[in-house]
Amino acid sequence: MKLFPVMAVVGAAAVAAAHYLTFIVAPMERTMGAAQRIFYFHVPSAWLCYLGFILGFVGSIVYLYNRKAKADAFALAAVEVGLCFGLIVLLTGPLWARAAWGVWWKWEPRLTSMALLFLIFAAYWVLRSFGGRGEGVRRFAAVLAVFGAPNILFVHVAVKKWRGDHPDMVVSNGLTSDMRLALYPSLLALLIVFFLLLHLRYRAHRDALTVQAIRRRLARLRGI
Amino acid sequence: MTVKTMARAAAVSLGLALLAPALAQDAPPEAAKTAFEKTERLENLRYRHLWIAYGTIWLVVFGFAFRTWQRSERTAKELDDLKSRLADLEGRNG
Amino acid sequence: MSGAAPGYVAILSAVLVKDLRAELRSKETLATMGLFGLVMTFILAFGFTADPATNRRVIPGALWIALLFAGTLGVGRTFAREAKDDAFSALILSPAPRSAVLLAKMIVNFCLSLSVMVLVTPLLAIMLRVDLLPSLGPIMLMLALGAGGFAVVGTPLAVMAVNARFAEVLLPMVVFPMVSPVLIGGVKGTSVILGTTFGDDGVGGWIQLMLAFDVAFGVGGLFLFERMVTE
Repeated sequence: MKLFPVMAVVGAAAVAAAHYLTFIVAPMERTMGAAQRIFYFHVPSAWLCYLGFILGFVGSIVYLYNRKAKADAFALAAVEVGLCFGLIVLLTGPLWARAAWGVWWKWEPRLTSMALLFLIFAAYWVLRSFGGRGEGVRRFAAVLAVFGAPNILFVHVAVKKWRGDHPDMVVSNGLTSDMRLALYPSLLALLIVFFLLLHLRYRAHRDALTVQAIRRRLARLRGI
Repeated sequence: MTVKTMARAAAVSLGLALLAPALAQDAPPEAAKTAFEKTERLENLRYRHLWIAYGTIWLVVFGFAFRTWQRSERTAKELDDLKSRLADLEGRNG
Repeated sequence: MSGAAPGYVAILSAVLVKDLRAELRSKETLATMGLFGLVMTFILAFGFTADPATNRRVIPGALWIALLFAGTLGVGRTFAREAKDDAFSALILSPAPRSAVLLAKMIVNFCLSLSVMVLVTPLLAIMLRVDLLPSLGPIMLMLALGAGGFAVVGTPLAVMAVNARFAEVLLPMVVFPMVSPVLIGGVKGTSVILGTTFGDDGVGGWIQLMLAFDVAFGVGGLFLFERMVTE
């Protein structure tokens, strides 16, 4: 089905609407100014990054138990999409940091734990891309995702204990209803993009596997 | 609607999405209470920067989606081809 | 195999004794890791030596970097002995519970990296001229917890890595971010012990965190190991 063009139009339109709300409708925050508007993009992206990794975790657990290639394709797709949103978080985060604190990077708990988490799943992605295509590599990657996702908790506790300085509370408590009006549509728009990407990547991986399997069967049949 | 029109519509929507940060007005400087705040905070970030960042991000994201879709379409065609060849061979053998 | 299957503990100790005895006899892993630790001690000392106060502040970092590298080296060699003669398949195919095999390997790795640290810690203390003696006990406890975290996460991943290309590059890349909570806990906890950092609740909170990490990933790894390896 030609689902992609439809979803792409819906996604892009949703993004346009969300940006309109973010930049035109949402009120100007007094001290942060323009930088505060990053919040509407940055925070939902972080949520979706976590969602991607958690879905990758679920897919990997399922894969370890039933060894169905589809579960593995789903896990890989979810991790890829999670990484995509993680990249958005790590790009918009420093912009915010520069405006709010005057530095590009600060060893701030959420920023740091996001970066470490990103590294774990980047390793997953590198493994899948360059480690080979065998069944053993898929199992290795699944174990990595299964160990990696619960690590969110430990990384977060460790980093928070290390540096206890978080501005996020200030931001979310100071939300006016207009700000909420911009936050939730942004989340919705990004969610549409999230599922668009997830669907596309999943289909690509699944079909690639099917092609591989049929190729093998063809070769065997010809061999007869 | 054809795929081409759809793609055009998506591109126009994205263009509109990027128009919002471009149109937004920068904060009046008096929002900062002291000269220090003005230079340390507000001077550093303008909507122009946000516009560049968002533009790059959305271009990359939708470009990535488009590339995946393209590749996926090609794979689907290959899959159909392979399936018919497989059915052919199996019919001949079995 | 006929007769009653040996118990979990019997298998665990059999694999453990086999590995430790082979190691003590050949000393190959211990020797390479020890030499590596020595080389690293020199490099870290070259890199970090400054005035005594600064040395006291950087020594936790130096210690934990040493543990990290020595641990990686050891974990990568986990199944090196079994790789020859395809003994690994034999080990996995045997009716022995696989988690017992994994647990034995975790303990071996833990012992190896800790013994390297027993060598490296006093050397670093001498070279950086930091008096670690008064707080040696707590520091070794932290290092043991760190070595435990490393073994618990690194061993199962090392088992899986035998299937991948570039395994020797991939493994550290995969393990380092994974053990970052233990690393942060270890470095900060050690500097709390040495009095160069002050935590709200002293070193106890860090020990709790590391212990929780070791237990959670240890139990999780053992529980999942049956699903991880096949044939």
